[in-house]
Amino acid sequence: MRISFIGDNSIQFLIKKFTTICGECNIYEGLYNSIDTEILNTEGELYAFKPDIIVIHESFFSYQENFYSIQEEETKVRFHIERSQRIIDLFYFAKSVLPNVKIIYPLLHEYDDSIYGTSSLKVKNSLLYQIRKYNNAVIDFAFENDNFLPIHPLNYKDDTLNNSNGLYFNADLHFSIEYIEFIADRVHQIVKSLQAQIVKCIVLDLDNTLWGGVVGEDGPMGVKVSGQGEGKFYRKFQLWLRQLKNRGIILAVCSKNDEHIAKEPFEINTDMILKMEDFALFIANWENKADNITIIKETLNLGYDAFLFIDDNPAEREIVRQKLPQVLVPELPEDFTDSLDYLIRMNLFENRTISVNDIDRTNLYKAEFERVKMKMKYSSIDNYLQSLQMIAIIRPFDLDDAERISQLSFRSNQFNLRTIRYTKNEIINIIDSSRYLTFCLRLRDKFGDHGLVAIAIVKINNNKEAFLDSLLMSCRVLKRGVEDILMNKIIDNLRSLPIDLLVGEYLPTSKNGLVQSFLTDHQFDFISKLDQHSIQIDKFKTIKNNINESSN
Amino acid sequence: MKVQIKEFSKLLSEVVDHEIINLELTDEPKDIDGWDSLNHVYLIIKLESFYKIKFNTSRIQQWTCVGDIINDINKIL
Repeated sequence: MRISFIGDNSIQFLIKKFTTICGECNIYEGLYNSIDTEILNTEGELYAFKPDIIVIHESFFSYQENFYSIQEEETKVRFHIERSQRIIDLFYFAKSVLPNVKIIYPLLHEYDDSIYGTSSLKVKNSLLYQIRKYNNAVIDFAFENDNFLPIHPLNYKDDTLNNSNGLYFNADLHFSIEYIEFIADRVHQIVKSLQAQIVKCIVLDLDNTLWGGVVGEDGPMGVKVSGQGEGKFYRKFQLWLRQLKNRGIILAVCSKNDEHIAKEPFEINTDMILKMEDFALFIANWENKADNITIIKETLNLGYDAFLFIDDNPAEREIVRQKLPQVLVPELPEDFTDSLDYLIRMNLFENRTISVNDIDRTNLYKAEFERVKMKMKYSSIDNYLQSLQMIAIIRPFDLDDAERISQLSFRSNQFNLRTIRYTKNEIINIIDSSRYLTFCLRLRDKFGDHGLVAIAIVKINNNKEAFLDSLLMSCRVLKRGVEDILMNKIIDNLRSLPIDLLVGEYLPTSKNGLVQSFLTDHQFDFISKLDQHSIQIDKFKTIKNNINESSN
Repeated sequence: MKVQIKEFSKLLSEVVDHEIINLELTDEPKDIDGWDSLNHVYLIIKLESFYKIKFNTSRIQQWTCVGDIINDINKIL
């Protein structure tokens, strides 16, 4: 299974826990706080990874923050509609790229911010009301879509979702480790149920499998299916099989016997739980069992992987396994009376309506998606980014910002071209020096102000050439084009000086793989001698982006 | 009760999953293999539950070395 985790909070904790309980899974960790951009970017790493499952972990804190950013009370009333439509849109968008992808979505924790005292559920613009309506809308949607799998946090006993505000504010850890473990466990349960081979038909041997003894020798009344000892096991086994049959699992017989002898116990032995009419097919002959299973398969029109073959004889099992590798053939315990417990523990009969149904529905989904896309707000990443109404303010460093700039240089590990750490004093020196051009970028969007999120420091080497000493960005605003507008600004400034050449360098660390190709992606040419890249300023083409620049 | 560096070292070792020998009060996260930002959070959780304390949000940001953390624990205890 290939699983992508994306979220709007620190999902590393969830992933770390999940990997300890699910060793065999392949995992992609989404960029920090970029649910929408990861899903809407069809060229991005999320889709390159080709996940079977995408886990979207959203926090009610983020929901709250977005809710609070709305000023008009009337818009607040409709907030849950807008937000639930967003999740539905994201689901269909992901589905249009990966038709069989499944989305696991833990519902939001219901939370009352006490703004309306005890009347929260009587006020439509209260946070609690909006969370509850949101969850309900998501649940309603999940009913219609087998591939959208919500997890409800209700079984989680502990009320202390978040055990330390210190960790929330410092590490963006929105939930207690215990709650994260609960979610990881739930995700794992779903993954396990999806992985299970879906058995639709059980093919059974007769002698020493459905009854004790050999009917050809012991006779129809002599086979053991009741009483104490061995017979008791076969009775229990038949009862279990009858339950499965009632649930819709098809039973078939495949036995090396003469047909009329094989049928006799079902017809005249009243201790037999299973009767002839319980079997969809009854094949008793002296042919190879693999060939007989093929006949059953053709008749029922199922795939080989829908078959479970149960036979007490290891040699028969081996033949089927070799000839029909897709058929599920459990290697049963040596003492056949241990087999029932063994089969039960294997949990072979998952009840999730996936695979066959889903494949049939793929075309339906596609048509449905086309319809939905017409009214979808974000049919592309550009539409989405435009809808954020981002505004950037880019200015030279200011003494007042020195502290924050220094902090950002220490904290940014992922989007950081050279990972140079600057102390506050070093920043002050750079501000005072005439040899540097400095840029700090503040970003705000319709949901609020992100503050100072990106900086660049350019060192003027001589009157022709400059060096990109630092370029880094907070991971809060990845994939929004912030780096593009910053590059445009840097080049504009250099052009006005004028400087001819900007040299750039990428210094790899264990964490900054994200910007590995930043230079080549931003029109830098490789200078082989120095292992550096450079841009001829006059050749630089302004990069299109969805951020508007403002001076205040 | 004064928390000793030995006990702290043992807790930190459990978090980073290898035994730390000769931990110094002046050691910083970068000096210890595996003491990254993720494990730093696990360390805080571990210390808070082990000593049954709660760190002050603004203090956490000011820690730079092992000594700072031990000092804070001792102040609270």
